Amino acid sequence: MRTSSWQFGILFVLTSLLSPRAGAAVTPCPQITIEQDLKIPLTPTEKQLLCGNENLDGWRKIPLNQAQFFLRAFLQQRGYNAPIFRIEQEKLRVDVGPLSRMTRIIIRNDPINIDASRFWEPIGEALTPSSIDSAQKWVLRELSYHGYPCVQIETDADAKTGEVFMNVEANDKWRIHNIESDPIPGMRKQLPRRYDPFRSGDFYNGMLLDLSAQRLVADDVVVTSHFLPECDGQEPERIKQTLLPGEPRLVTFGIGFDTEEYVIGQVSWKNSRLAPEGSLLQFSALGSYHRQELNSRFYWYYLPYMTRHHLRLEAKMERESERRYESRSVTAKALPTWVLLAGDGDVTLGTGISLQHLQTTRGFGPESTRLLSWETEMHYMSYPFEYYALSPRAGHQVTFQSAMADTALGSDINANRWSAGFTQLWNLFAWDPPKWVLGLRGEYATTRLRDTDRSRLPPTFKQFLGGSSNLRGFGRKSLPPRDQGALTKAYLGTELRGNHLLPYKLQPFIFIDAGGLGETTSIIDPTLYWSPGVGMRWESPIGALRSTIAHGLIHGKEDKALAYLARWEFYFSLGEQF
Amino acid sequence: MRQLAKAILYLVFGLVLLFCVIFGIFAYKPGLLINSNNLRRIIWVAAPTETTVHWQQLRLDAAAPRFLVHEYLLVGKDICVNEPRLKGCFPLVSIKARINYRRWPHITESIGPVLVNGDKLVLSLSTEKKKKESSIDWEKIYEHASKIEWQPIVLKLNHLTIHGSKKPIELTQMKLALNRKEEHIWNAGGQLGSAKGFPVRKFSFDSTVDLHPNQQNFWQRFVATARAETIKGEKLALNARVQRISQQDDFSFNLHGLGTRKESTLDLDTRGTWRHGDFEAVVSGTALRAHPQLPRIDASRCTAKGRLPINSKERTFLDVNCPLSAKHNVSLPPSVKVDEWPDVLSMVVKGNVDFPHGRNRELNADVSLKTLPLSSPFVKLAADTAAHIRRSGRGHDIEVVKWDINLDAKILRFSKLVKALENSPWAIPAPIRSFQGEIGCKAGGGFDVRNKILDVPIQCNTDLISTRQEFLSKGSALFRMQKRPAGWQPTLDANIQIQRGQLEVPEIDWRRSLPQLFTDKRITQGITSTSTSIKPKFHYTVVLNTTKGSPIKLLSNLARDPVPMELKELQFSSRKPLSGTVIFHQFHLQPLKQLVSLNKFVITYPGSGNPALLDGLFDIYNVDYTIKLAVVGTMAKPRIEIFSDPPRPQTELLSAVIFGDATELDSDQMRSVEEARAAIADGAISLISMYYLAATPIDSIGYNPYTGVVRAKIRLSGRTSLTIGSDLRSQQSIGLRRRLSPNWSLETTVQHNTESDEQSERAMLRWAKRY
Repeated sequence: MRTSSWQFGILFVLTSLLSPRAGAAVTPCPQITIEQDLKIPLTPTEKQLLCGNENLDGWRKIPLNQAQFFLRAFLQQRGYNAPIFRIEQEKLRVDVGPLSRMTRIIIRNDPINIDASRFWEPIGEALTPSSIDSAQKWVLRELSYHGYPCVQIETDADAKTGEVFMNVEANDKWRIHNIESDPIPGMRKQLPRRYDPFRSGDFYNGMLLDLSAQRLVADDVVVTSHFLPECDGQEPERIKQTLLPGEPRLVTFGIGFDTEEYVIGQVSWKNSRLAPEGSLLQFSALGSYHRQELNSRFYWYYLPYMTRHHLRLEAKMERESERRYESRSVTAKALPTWVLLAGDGDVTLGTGISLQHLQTTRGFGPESTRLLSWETEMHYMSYPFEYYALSPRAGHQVTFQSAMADTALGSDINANRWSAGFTQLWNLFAWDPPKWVLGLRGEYATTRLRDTDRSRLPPTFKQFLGGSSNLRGFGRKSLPPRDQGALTKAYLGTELRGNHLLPYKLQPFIFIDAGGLGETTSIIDPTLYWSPGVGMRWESPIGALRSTIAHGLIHGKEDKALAYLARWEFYFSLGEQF
Repeated sequence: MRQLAKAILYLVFGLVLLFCVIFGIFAYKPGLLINSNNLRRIIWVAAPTETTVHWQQLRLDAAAPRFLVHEYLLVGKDICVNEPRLKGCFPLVSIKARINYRRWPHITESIGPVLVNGDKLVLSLSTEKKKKESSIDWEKIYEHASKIEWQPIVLKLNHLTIHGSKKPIELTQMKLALNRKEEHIWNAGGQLGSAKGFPVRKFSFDSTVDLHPNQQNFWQRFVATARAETIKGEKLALNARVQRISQQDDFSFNLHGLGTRKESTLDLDTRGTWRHGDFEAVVSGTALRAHPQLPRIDASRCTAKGRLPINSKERTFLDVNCPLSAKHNVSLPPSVKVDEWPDVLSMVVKGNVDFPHGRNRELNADVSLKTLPLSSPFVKLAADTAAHIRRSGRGHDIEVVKWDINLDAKILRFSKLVKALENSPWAIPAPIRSFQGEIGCKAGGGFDVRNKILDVPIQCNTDLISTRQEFLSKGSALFRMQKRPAGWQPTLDANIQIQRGQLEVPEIDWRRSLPQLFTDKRITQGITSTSTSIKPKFHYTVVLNTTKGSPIKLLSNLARDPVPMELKELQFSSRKPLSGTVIFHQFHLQPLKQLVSLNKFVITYPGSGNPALLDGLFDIYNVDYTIKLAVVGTMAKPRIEIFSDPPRPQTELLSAVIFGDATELDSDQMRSVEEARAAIADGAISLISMYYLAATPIDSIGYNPYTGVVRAKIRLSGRTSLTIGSDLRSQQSIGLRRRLSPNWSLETTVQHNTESDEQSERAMLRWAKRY
């Protein structure tokens, strides 16, 4: 292989930029010189312990051997475990020595055979007490996720080899059957169990317990919640759930940013603890450039015992202004809903009546339509998918929806709509935290018309592609190019994201989306729309920011006619996890 | 019959005549009898079979200067001997003697000169112990010898190898000469050119002895000089003069020795007398550069008295009284600089050795060494040691029956000690180093020989003070050295009573992470190989107590008042874990958010290695009530219980601790309170964390029970904030909420649009209020 001089030049520049700086000496005080630059500078308290404090009688001067003693500990905190100290001419010179790096984690007496090589993050990093703590916490977390919440770990590390040895002392594997929750005023005692992603008798899993607590908080049932295994308790396998109920009614006013709606404002009133069964009643108003809506929902747990089943009652007044149309609608829904535990996820199944009055004021669509439809929703989401929703890494979700409107039932149109979608995420090579996340998602939706003119279809029964949520190489809902929308759409996309490859939590990714539309029910036309692209994701403190750039491509008999759609599209969004 | 008698008479006469003729012939011509051939025959017949002697030439010449006075000269050349004990050749042997037959039976009138030259001789010494020969009457021998006229006798050996039980010794150019200078004065001298396998490389001596065989006093005077040089380069010169001072065997002696070894010199002068086994001696001398730490040792008039009778069964004893003065260079590392260290050490060595039943039997000895007090502005030091040594009649081993040590040391100026050790590895650490004052120690103990235990009780006291600190204490300790199979095992058991103490604690910037003062023992430099030999370790036990009613006061920037700390039987030991009790009495924490005082805090170390037990109570003063914060459990897992007087709900109290107000909390503050409560319930809040909660403006608190990490966001001055605690960063949840101010937060939630089946994330600046 030949390497030209300019390649050498680039290599040199890169090496110079990436290699650690052969830093200048650090001199915290005249009598102490640290010959190399410390990546983590000394704190004022550390400097005081090395150099003395003029204001303190006893600490005015620190003898060099005491400074050496302290400095050895300070350097250890920074990964320098073999410093060489020299006292020359009443001055302490310190060669911090090589930086110890963690090379391997070896776990002994591990009841679940943890593959410690998955925890790559501290490997290659400085071997410090905190990095050892970090490794120890990871092992503790892994054990708590696999039934062992109460373990003792003895750890020691070899600074020369960088190996960290952990000796695990674990008791019997725990099962969850003895949770004692704090009471929530006015609520049934078993109310928190509605949010459990586990059954009594399942093995202890810290992630699922945490997910249960987070669901409670997310639904504003309580202010905060924690599960605490009582390791020193008298009763075996006893778990305490702390709850801070707070007041049941919540008023919020918010202004924010939505990836679909851009700037949004929201006012909400919510009572999460209506009746002892914990029904939820919420009124909210939301306004954005695209959409303004008044919303009310009532999740009625009407059965006199604790169950996940409830009646979902929703009413909404909405004005929607899209590029191609502007509509106003009033919707009311009544869907009995069941939530079932299925494997490693929850299935939410709801089916019921939806009544909608829709008025199109601009663009394609009926001027006024009344829809009385029978809607069915099924949603399955695995627990890892839900737990890591803000930083997707694993798991899957499947959705199915249908809506059937019939004039015989009082609807203005006869139409059926079916849609199904899925998302699957793989944490490639099972790194923790993940290095590579591969995602695959797909969607299929179709509308069937019966004795109804297509022009009378409301937008919810029409299928579009394009935008940051599916075909990222095309404009938002820009496909099909004709305004009336399609009756069938199919989409399949895949994305490979690299986590922790770049600093500052920047995550690059590549993707390719492909989709098709059909002008008839169930049939996809041969024209293929696809868009390869690249993007960057940043896990900011307020959420994930994503930007993508992709080029839309069209294959098929209409490719020349639609060539004007094939262009670069840039999206910047908040969220949109995959 | 008569004829027979006649015949016998003739025969006898004839035989006598024949004998006289033969005697006459041999007397005048001895060579006819003693010649080379006859000697060979005699040796062949008489000598053992393994012995051979041969020579190249052997000649005996005789001359008769007077009637019946003959002079003989035996000259042999190249006489070689091959005998089990001696092998080698004598190139020249020349012996001259004069025989006077008229002085029968002492016919030898003179001997000498005698010259024996030897070369390449090998002498094999028997390793078997010889039977004790009967005592030789030297005086009788000398009486005969003194009647002979002696001419010089010279023995020259060019090369002599001596084989014994050890490695062979090779001597070259050895010369021994004996000469009678006057009638009673004999001179003996010798020299050794070089030697191998022998400590002495060169040696020469010259001695004169005055012997009187016919008098009661056999000898009168002995004068000798000797010089020797060892293979190590040591040189020794000895002048000795011994003079008889009475008709008995009493004598006086004067010995002067001068030895040099490299740069070291030992000059000793000994004078004394010996009377009937009683002796007295006075020793004076100087040793220069005998030891790097002792450049000069002077002994002036060391006296030794005793009795050493000739009869070994009589009582023998020795008394020594020896004042010594030693100039010493204390072997301090270069980093230790002591300006006023006394450089002359004066001491007196006294001792007596007593053999009550004669030598080789029972022995009793007392030896003592006492230093005269050393004094300088810096240090005062005095020490003495005494030992009683004994050998029982049965055994042959000498044993030390008793050994006493006494030491009185005082550091007069602690600041000098601090300065002296400042740049050494033993520098006095802060905050102790700022003290001024005295440290005194007295030690006195003895050695129990039977149990092989040296016990040295030590008493010490400190009287140290500085501008803001003080440390007054009394301590007692027992230092013990005990003989174990693996060697001497030193132990120290000390008990220190702190009478008054005030110490400064470094300023802690609690706004930043606390520094780690000690290295984490979990990190090691590889697996250290275990040594096969078990070396005794120094074991110590130090018990600290403070005087009742006078606790140590700690000055800290975290406390408004000095922190009173009481120590009760706090025991540090190399053999077992820390035990005892540390009690912090009431003090007020530095006023920050609210007035907090520590009522009492007791840390009890069980001494079993288990974590220390905690029993603490903080008072947090609120307008309406006093919040009590009890800290119980163990140091490894402290448990914090919160209650009040009058009683209030725990959440309300915790709200008051964290936010200062329990009534007007928004939901996020309530969440923080609950997170803190969960962390407290889980034992995840440490004392330091609790300090932060009670002392600082808290923004929010988060707790992750799966990693046991408490995150607290603390408002600092202006717009800055600090987050304490860290989490596994990869862990994310289904929603993020960042509190900005009361009721205001930034929330990020995942939205799932059921109609469009699209998932999006919504970030909102939210004002919320629960009611």
